[in-house]
Amino acid sequence: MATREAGKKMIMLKSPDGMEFEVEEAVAMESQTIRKMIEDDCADTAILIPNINSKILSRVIEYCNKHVPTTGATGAAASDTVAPAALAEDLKIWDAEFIKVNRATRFNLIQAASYLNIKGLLDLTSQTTIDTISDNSLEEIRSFLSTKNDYLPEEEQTIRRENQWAFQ
Amino acid sequence: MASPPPPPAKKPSQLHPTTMTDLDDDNLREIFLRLPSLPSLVRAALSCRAFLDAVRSPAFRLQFRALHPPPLLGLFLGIQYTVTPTFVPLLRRSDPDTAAAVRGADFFLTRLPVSEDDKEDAGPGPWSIGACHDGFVVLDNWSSRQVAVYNPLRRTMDLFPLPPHRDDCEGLHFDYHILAEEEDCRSSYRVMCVWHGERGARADVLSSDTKEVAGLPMDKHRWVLASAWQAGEWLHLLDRW
Repeated sequence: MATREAGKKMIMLKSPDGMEFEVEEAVAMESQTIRKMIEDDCADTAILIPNINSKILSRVIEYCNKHVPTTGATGAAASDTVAPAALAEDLKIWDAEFIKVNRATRFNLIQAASYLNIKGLLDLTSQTTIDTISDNSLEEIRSFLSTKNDYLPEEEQTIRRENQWAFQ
Repeated sequence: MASPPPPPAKKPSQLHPTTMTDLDDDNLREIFLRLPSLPSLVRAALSCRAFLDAVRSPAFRLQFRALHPPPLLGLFLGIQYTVTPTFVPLLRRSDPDTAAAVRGADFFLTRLPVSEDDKEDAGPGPWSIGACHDGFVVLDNWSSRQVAVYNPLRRTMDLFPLPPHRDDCEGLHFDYHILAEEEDCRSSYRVMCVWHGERGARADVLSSDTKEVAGLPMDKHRWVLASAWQAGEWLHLLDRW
């Protein structure tokens, strides 16, 4: 949970299961959807985030907290002393740890990142999904993504024949 | 209390763990755009109907193509007019998809018909390449008077009669131009066979839809073929004077 600091505007995010999260406005504005609501003055001090449960929302806030550009008293000091490349490297390591979640959570994060329009989080979650399937065969993809093959056997045969060049 | 924008179309079910099939088409497309190559997209999209439906959108196709320009798989080397052009692959061993595409494709052009005169020889006779673009190779054979539109990746070939050499085409230049488009997993094409020069221009159109040759009337203006190198490819423009 973010600590209230003097002069920082706080905003309340509510999940549909009744949890409330108090976050800095700058952190919440990592979400373009929320940014637009705030800029259009549609946002009061509390915003209900539909369809994203408290478990996922807290992870999303954790991500935004880490990725919000560091400004202000402590932030300025940090970026003065640490080279941008080192900061980027640190974020990359942090992201890699952050995304070590089960598949269901990752797909929930994709839905949340898409709805809240957080590009960095959408990139991270989508790319992680892609990394698990891009070099795999059709059977492996089906098993990784828990998809059911709903083609008829003869349909699948035709598809494979016509797209043989795509199968290794 | 603020009024939020409308919620995502598909509400994630709380009863079972979320899987990729719970994602809506926009989410799926967002993920699939990041696949490294066209073959990996084809494999992923063919794993179930919902995925295939998601990537059918023409806007997605355009976006994917812009992010993944088709790689150069190799070159056809034509040696005079006596043998079929030879394909030389540019193999990037680090890329298994490209290597697999080259292995799986029919770059030896094995479907080209063998003419009676050439049966005793090894090759299918004097086919020469008229144009090669967007995955299609256009070859013509002036002794059997045929044009072949070949798609080596899909291993398909359509044969057309060579457009007639009319009297008014005497002395004019002759070129092929391929106009290809991807359409719902099928690739369709039109091949323009163009005579052009000082006295005018005439075109015959070979179409994948009709499998027929359609002749366009002679245009009696002076046409000059101008070629320009633009955005990494040759543009051929016919200027009417």
